[in-house]
Amino acid sequence: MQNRLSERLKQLIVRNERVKRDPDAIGPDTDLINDLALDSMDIVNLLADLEEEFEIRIDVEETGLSIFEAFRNLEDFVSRQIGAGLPAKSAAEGGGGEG
Amino acid sequence: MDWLLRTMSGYADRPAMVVGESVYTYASMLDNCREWADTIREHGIRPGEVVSLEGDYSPSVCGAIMALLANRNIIVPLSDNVQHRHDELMDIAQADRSFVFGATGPEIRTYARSGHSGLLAEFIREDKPGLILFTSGTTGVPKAILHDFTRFVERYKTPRDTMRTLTFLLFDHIGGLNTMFHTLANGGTIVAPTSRTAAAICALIEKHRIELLPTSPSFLNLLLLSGAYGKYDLSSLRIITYGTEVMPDSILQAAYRTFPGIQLRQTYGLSELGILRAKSRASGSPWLKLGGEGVETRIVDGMLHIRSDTGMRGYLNAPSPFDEQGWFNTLDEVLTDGDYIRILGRRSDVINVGGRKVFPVEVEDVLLQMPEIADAAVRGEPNPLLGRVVAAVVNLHEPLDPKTLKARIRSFCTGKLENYQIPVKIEIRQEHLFTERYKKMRK
Repeated sequence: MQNRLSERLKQLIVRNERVKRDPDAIGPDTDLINDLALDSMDIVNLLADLEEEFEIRIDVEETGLSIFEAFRNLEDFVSRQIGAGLPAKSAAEGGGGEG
Repeated sequence: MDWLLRTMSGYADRPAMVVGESVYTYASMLDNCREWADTIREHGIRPGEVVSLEGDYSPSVCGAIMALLANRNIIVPLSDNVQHRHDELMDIAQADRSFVFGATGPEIRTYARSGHSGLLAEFIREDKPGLILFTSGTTGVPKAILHDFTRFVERYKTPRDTMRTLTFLLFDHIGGLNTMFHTLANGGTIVAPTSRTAAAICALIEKHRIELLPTSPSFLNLLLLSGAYGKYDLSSLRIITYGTEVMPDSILQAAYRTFPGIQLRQTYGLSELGILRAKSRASGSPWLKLGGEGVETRIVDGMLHIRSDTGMRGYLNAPSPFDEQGWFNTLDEVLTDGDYIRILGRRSDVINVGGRKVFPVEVEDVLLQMPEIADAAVRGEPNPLLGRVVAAVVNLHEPLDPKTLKARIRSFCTGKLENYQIPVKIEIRQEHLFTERYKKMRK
């Protein structure tokens, strides 16, 4: 499916990377901060993009940065946030199978 | 005041003011002043009373200003666009009377007050004419600035060149009052606009062969965007001055290219200190030298401090901002190059992104270079990771999808701005991004 959550997330992550990489190189365990070297400014931009793309609010003070420690954490988090707002298949696939 | 009235009487037959189709000579302005002096007597308005003047430039308003000052009153000019705060401002100024200049002619209103207090009461005991101006902050309580008019007017005693000048800045603005007193003291002509749209201003320039247009960067941007300048003959214009806010370089360069024969001069003034003499390094240069008689400048911690003989007496509703030696911190951050300074922006406008300073005008300058963007206002927004981040509100020439715009902004700004200066959030707005005074609205 074209708009699968994980693909959309990877596109947003790649958009905010200084060194662009193949989205397929991002796996469920990829640490966005350490493996992809996203700095605080990149994270801020990524958060703003996530909020706009999925029309959700992300309170980092509440979630902490653990959602960026593994790609699957972010995927789970966003999936929960958008809940019924996303096609069921994408939401259900949230945790798995990439990379 | 006497010397100004004497000086004006020497220009008797010259045109002093043009409003609509009517031209008023210096003699008729002085007649107006005498009529107001009679009215003031008839109404028993005593020296030391605080009187607001509500309206816009007209011979009657100018006559009332001069008659009140000659009667040693404290005047409070108020333009229409502060009418929503009228009662609050009148209370702060402790006003006793209002002269309201409406469509049906002037009306005098009297307010019940139990006397004056604080700095104002002290000043009134000195039996001098005064002037109260308000800071133009868009939030919070405006500060009332008290000037000793006898000191304020000193700067106009030195004869200088004058031109046919359009009173673009409102008459309750320090720049507007400066235009009025400078022109009248030197036998020039002021042309008062009834509308301040780009087309209306251009039409007046053509019709009255205006030579000097004092304006603001936001208005210059609007003028350039509107294309109105191409539809009128502006060949009489010799000088455009701009002040009141920091000029983005992109607008300055665009103005320089569009008006190659017109000098572009930066002005610098504060309601607290008056308009200072400023000399641009060259036409179209953002660097300027400040000075003038009785004016000293110094830079402390990157901010411009000024000491002036003609500064205000003080605020009526706030502590004195002067230090023990009389220095006033303008809170404007500046760069220096020899004797020249470049104003970067207000300290309060600086956005602290994770400890790094961002001046809104630097970002606006780059955004304004994008073909899609007509105007931009940059401000800080709270952010839990970095303290604050850069956010931009923009006007577009053509509708554009927000995501596409954001991607284009990031792409365009990369390499022109540091990563932390590039706006994280973008909002597209239809409404203008400047106030009624043509000053950038960043809140």
